[in-house]
Amino acid sequence: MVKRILILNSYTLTSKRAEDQVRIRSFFEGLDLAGYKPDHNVDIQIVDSNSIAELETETRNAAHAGLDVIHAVGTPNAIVAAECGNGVPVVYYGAHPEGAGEAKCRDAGVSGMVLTLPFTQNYKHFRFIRKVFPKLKRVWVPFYESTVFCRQEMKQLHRDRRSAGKSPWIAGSEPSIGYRSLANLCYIIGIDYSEFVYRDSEDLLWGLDQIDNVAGEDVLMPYNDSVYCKDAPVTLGNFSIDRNFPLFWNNNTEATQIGAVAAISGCFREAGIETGKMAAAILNGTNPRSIGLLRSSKTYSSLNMVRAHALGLEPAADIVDQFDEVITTEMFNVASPGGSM
Amino acid sequence: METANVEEIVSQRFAEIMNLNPDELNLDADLFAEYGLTSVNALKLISQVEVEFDIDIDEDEARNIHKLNDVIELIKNKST
Repeated sequence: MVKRILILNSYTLTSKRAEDQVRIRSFFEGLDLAGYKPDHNVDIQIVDSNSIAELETETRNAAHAGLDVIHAVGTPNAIVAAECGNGVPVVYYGAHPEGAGEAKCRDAGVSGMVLTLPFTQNYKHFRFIRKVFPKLKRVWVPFYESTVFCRQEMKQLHRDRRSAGKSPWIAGSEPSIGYRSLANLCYIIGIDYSEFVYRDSEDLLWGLDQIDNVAGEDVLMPYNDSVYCKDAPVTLGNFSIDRNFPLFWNNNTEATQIGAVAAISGCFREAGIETGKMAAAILNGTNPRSIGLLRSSKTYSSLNMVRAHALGLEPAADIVDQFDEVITTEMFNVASPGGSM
Repeated sequence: METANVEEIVSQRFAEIMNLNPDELNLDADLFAEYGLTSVNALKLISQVEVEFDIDIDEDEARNIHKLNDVIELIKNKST
C-alpha cells in the first residue's frame, strides 16, 4: 500500500510554487535518499498556506482520510500537526526563541530538527547587523500576536500598555518586555531595542507609522511569526520601500525578494533533507519517539544589493562576501500565499 | 599599544557602562562583588573591548575575567 505524507508548508513570501521551494525540494531529497519517491511509492499532499486556521482544517481532513506522517515546516505548523493530526507521527524543523513552543513539540513526541536563530543566538553573531548598517542606533521588532512566539503574558503586557495610552512600542530599557534576550543583545552591542505586538496588518501599519525613523539609524527586524498574519509581509516590505526604512528579516531569506535588504536563516536545505530522512524512517517502521530532535547551527543568508543601494548603503566587499546569496537585480516577487487568518 | 592607554580606555568603557567615575576605579577590585557588574554588562564590556582593540575573547577567557586588570592583561596578550 502506498504511504501518505502531508506537508504543512508556510513561510512562503513569493509566487514560487511550493514544489520548487528549497523547503520542499530538500525534504523530497531526504525521502529519496531512503528510497521514497513522490508519485512512485509515496503520495504527498502539500498544504501551502500561511494561515493557521487553514492549516488546522486541512490537517484534520487529511488525518481523517488516512496519513502515515506529517511534515511541518516551522514551529507553529508542528504544533498544528501535533494538535490536529489525530496522533499521526510528525516531523518538523523550526526555531524556538527563548524556548517558545519547544516543550509543546517535545510533549507531543514530534521528531525533527531544532534550528538556532543564527543571527540572534549570541552577541557575536548579532553584532553583524552593525557591519551591515554602520550608523545603526535602533532596532524595531514587530510581533504578530497569534502565534506561539507571542506568549500570553507578552500579549497581555502589550495590551495593558495600549490601554494605558502609552506608545505601542516598548523599549528594551523598560522593566517589563516580551523578549528580554533580544533587548539584552541590543544593549550589549550598544543599540536600542523596541518591540510591538500587533493584531493584524492594519494594526501593524499603524504601529509602524508611530516610528520616526532616521535614515541609516533605524532597522525593522521581523521574524517569521509575521508570515502568519495576512498581508503583514507585504505591509512590511512596502513600508520599508516607501519610507526608506531598512528591513532585516530573521529566519526567512525569501524576504529579500519582497523588499528586505537582508535576511539570515537556519539552513532550510539541511533541515529539509534531515526531516525527509526522518519521515522515511517512520515510514519504514521506526518508532517516532526514538528519533527525537537534532540541532542545527548551519545558516543561510541573503543580501539584496538593489535595496542596499536604494537605502544609501554601500556594504564593504568583505561584508558582502559573508552572504550566501547576493541579489543584484530588482526582484520584488510579492505574492499572496494561500490563506488568511 | 601603550599599557597606560589600554588602562585608560578599559576604565573609561567600564565607567560608562556602570555610570562610575573612571578616576576612582580600582583595577584589582572584584567587578561583580565590588561594582555589582551583571552578566549582561560584562558582555557589553567584552563586546566593546573586542571591537575597540580588534580582538576576539572566547567564552573560557571571558569566564576568567574578575577584575579590570584581567581585561587589560588579556588585551595586552592578544595585541602582541
